[in-house]
Amino acid sequence: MDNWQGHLTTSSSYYCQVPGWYLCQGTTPFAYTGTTQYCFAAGFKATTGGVSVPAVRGQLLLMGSGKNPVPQACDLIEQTVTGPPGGTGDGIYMTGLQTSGGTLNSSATGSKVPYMSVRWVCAISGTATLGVPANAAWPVPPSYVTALELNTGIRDTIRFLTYPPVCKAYYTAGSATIPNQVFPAGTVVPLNTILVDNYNGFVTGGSGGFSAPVAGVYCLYAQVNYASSSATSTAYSAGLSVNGAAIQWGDSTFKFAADSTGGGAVVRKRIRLAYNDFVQFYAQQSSGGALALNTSVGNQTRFIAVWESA
Amino acid sequence: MSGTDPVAPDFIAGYGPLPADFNAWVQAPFTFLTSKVVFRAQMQGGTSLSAGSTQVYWDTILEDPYGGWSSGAGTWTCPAGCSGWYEVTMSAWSANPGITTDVIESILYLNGSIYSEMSASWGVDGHATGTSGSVPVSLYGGQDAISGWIYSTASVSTPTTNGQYPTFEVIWLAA
Repeated sequence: MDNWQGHLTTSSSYYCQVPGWYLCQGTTPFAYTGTTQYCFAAGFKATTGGVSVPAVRGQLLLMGSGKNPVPQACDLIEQTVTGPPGGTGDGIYMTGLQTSGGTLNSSATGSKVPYMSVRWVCAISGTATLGVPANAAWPVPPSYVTALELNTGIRDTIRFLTYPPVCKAYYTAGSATIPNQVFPAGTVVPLNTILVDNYNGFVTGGSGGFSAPVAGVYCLYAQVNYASSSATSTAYSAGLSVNGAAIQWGDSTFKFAADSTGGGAVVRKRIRLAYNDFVQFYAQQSSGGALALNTSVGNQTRFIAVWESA
Repeated sequence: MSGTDPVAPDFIAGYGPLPADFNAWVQAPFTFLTSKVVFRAQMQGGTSLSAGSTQVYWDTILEDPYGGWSSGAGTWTCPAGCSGWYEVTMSAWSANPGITTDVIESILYLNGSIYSEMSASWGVDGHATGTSGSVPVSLYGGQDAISGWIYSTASVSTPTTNGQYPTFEVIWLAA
């Protein structure tokens, strides 16, 4: 599908046709079924505002257990300069990483092929802090349509649907660590940088999280990528907790051997939140000691929230 | 709840709109775009997983406003009139596989055939293990039915602990 015809096959890029924030998702499955552990990752590289941005990966998936790895990637990317495919406008394309030391093909199994999804979710600017549209029925005689109905029923609805709550927060290199814990215990990931938060819902820090600015179903994605570790037989887990309730885990994935790139986990869910529900991103690791978050810009730890439905 | 993919209205010169026209031209399309077709479900009561792929018959339906879920078939059918692109999000979970060579996958089936192995991770030896994935899928209203499956190398059950339930979510993205 490419309904706005922004894709250029010769470079596998999607060129910006409408300015906005784009929710990008995808995976790069590799044709690897060996038992030796390697690192696999998908990522996105973009030109934003005419400036080339280095590739930022999804989870660093450590795999080596007899089936093709399917590393996850999801990112919220700003695109402002429009243009034809192959032109000088902003664009997005996928990247892949594997550390086997040799060439690997991507998986060619029909149900496990690389894919990229780029979807506009929010304008660059708009009217924030609007409520979810009520979409009330139009007045019947003897009542009549006034500016009130036109503004609430049309203007404000369009404003909200083109500028819904979106948020991306991530960890900028510092000294944060996640302690050794036995699953299902977890620690709030101390994200310290906000890229976008148009409804001002995110609070950074070790107790931070996202307060839902309006009620609704939110697309929630978070990934933790750790620094490399010599530990073996280790679990890496990622989850979300709403209002301090039980952590809803996404991944709990296994690390069998020492690694040199880092490793990570993701959580990806659609959760219905009430106004002001507080969502926190939790991580767990059982390496035996505290483990630092990966400090490479390309191996990002991040949280994304996008309002999708009332 | 009911609704269909929005259609842009035609404003005919000389036609005096009635309130019902505004409801059809404005309220109904905007309502569909505000409150999208959504399905969210979990498996809380546990189910046995074979060594291989197993269909999950979700036992806890969190929301299904368009009534697409069939507990007998274990499928969710795209509502009639709501054809379009949907995104499926799934977390596949199993109990402790007890082996160091376990793989766990979240898998989407479409009309009884495998559509996408959305995620695949190395299963943890020692406690419950899971993997999260997603994929966009084109669905034809009234016809196409999807289901969630879990691949587990080990023949175990799904967890019954809150926070480790397998989960499945579907949302309409675009016509």
